[in-house]
Amino acid sequence: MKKLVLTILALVLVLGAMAPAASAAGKLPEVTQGSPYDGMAYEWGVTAVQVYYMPGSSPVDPLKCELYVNGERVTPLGDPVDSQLAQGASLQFNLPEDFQPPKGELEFRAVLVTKAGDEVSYDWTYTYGGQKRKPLIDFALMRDWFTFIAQGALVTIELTVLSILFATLLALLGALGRLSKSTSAREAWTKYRSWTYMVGWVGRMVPYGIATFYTSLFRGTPLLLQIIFIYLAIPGFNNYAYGAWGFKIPEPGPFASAAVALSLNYGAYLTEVWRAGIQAVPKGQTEAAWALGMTGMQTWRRITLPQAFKIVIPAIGNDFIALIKDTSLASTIALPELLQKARLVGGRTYDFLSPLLVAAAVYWALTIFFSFWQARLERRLERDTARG
Amino acid sequence: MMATEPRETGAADDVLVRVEGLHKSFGKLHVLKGVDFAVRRGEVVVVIGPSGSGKSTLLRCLNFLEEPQKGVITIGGVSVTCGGRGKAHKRAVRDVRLKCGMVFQEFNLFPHKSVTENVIEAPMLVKGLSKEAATERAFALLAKVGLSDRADYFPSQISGGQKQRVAIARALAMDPELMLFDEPTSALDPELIGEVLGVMKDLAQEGMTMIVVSHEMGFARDVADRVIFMDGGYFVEQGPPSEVFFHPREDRTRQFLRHILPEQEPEHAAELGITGEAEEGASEEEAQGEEAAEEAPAGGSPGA
Amino acid sequence: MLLVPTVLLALAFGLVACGGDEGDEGGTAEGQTAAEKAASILGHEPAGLAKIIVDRGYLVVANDPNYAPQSSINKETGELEGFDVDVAKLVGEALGLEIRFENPKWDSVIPGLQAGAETGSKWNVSIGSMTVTPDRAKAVDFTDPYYYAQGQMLVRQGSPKITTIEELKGKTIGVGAQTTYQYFLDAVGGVNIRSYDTDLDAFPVLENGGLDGVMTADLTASEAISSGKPFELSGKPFYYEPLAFAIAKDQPDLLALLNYSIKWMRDNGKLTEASKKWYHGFDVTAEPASGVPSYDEVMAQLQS
Repeated sequence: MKKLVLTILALVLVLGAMAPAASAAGKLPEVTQGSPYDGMAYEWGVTAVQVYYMPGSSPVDPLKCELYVNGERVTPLGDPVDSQLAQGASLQFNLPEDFQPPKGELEFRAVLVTKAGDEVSYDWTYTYGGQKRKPLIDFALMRDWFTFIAQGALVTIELTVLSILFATLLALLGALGRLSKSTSAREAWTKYRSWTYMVGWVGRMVPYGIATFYTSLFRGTPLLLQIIFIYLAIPGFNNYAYGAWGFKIPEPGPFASAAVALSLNYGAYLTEVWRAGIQAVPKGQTEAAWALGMTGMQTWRRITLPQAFKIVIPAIGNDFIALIKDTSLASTIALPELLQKARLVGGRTYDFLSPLLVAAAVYWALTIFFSFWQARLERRLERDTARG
Repeated sequence: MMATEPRETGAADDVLVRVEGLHKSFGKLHVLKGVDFAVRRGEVVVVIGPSGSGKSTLLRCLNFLEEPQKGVITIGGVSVTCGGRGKAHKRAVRDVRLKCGMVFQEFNLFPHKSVTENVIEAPMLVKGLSKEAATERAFALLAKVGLSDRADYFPSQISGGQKQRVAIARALAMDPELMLFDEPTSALDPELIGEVLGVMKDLAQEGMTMIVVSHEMGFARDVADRVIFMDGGYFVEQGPPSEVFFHPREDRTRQFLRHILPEQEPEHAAELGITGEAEEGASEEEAQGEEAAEEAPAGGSPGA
Repeated sequence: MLLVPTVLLALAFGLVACGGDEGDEGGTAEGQTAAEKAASILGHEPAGLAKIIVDRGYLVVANDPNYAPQSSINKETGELEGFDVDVAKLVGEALGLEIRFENPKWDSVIPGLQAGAETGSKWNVSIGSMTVTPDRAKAVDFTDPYYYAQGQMLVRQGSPKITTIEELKGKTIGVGAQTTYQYFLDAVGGVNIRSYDTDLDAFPVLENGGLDGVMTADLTASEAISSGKPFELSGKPFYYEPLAFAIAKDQPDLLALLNYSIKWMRDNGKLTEASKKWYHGFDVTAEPASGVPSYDEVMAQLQS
């Protein structure tokens, strides 16, 4: 009798152990990971819990699956969602609005139930920081990422300073070109009626033409286009030139592309500033210098240019500040400057508001800083002008 | 009536400036229509004439601030044929400029430089003087024009009369043989004119050759060796101030003097029987622009 | 037309930029240079772009750090991390090359590959989860796939799922510009498509109800859910897509080298290891056998 009972018990046990294997034709779902897990790319948002698993022979029945946190059953918001992934699947438990687990280590248990009625449970832990909902402005995020974003400010400043320098030089050349034409062809002819003069006149028209073309082109096309064009068109040109003629020119990277485009664009704007500045120096100044026997070059260097410089300094200062902000366009060619870095952080944390606020604050601080120095410089020059 | 003060003027044939057949036009506007004249070394010539008569243009042509189309200008042995081009021409022009100092109506001081810097700039840059030498000379010149105490000021900090005296010192710093004055007192407040004329008189006393475009009759009468009346691009009449001012031969000169004399020399105007009130209408006519004056028929030209 | 002036300035900047490129890397752990290694893999001296790359010793990889877990920036270090980043480093290991990352915008990845075809500039290979499509294959050459993803619809929690073509019609769907998801929805027709710089830019809009769904890769979507975005996967994917490296066209040696590196990391298990590390323990490097059609099949069906 006792033997019989033992035999039956053993049989039940064996059958019981064999039962799941039999119903699932040998294969149960295998859970590979539960989310949230430590070391996630992002913080856990407490809106959902996901279970990643390799399906078994029988599909999972989401309605029967259960989720436990610290041993307590959590009633999910709506039905759990089962999604097929490229490999495996995910079962998503959406959490109710009022769900608030305690801070610290959480013990999760998911129970997956197949259509065939098999159960697979999976346990994992996650250290929860206690933040239910991300704040609108995430100061912790700002603190964490400030250095990363602020590093972009260095690139922004470098780009600004280099560009304004080259732009000013370009603009000076452009202005000389723009000023090299003094009369129209008709006027020149009626005034001098000399073919040799007309030849010289045509010669002086060349720099004028180049400068006019340059300012027109670069003021007439968007800066953003110029940046992208230089970044992508020069390699394209090289590609062709290398194949067709066997040479290539140095190719600008993102920084150089942005610097070239900003220099050319602001150079075009500053050309007109310089032109006006040079023209604003009274003609009597040049005449006085000539009358004293100075050569054209001496007059230009010692008399006209210093006076024109004083006139254009405020405009250059304004453009400098505008340029600080326009460097952000270089983010389109992925230069790791201020805006690009802020966007990267946004992409990384799914929060654009906070990193963009950091970037905005840094831009603002930069412009305030430079405005302050510009104002000081202008006050100083004003004093000089009042004296001189 | 006052005679010109006798003064050493060097040998009679010591001609410093010679101008032959000078023509200058701005587009269609023919401003100088064949001017010939010569200035002896040490001579002080005052050029008068209505606005648009070409007197300022003549002065500016002498140092090629305006390039004349035709004519030959010889100053201190350097001869330039107008209308030329090229390097040699440019060099000749610069040589001529180095012989002339010029003082402008609007002063044209360099506003970004102090008074001293204004004076030493050209000697250092053009003549290659050391800063010390140039400064020493500048101080002497500033003392001469009575501005030693303004050496470190900037042009905007001093009066118009002082500016013009600095401008004179600046021109003298280049040791010119000829000084050109283009209406040097026209932009000055009346109370400041005297100090500038004083400096100019001193300069004349020292024997500087000067060509002065000015309507300052008193100055002309006291200092000038010769007065030239220009109108319509010609020399209408020239001679010692006593003759041109008080015994003009030409109607055109007389007409012009009717506007000038009652203001500046009432007693002489009375002597000539000219009264200010009668000429109101004519004053307006004189005040017309350059073009208008130029278009006026050259009725007063010689031989008319 | 912009070329003429830009070339001149580019010369100035380019020289500076080029100076930094001259590294002396290229040696491998075994003391074998990248060039020798490449020659032994290919069985002949590498030519074309491959030669430029192995000679200079580094490979420039285009990669967009806006897609966790494929690629993103590490919070602590600011360095790139993710599956694509690991794969790129494995390529470097396999070929004895230093890996340099560039982070161009997604829509300039292919132009940049083409641009550097002859000179090796910009980036030489995209290791950025690019789907192999016939259209793209006209512009670039693809290696063998290194993993597979699925195009899934992400919707707000509790919103109706979108899993069929019929359900797509009339819906407003956000996608990353120039992704297969955009091409797919274009082909479906009748879908109100909003394209963004990256898929991520669409998420806030979806969250606020501005979109009915965002179509993206399944694992990108589930990362968003983990981070607390109140979204759900729609469950049934529309298609699976093979993802591969892309290079400029007609570079057989470079293609062979990269295919070798993929085979190398498949054979030694490092690719699977990387996959399991980043993709929840899944081996996404094997082709799915789930009955979901491939992207090509779906597109062919839609276009017929």
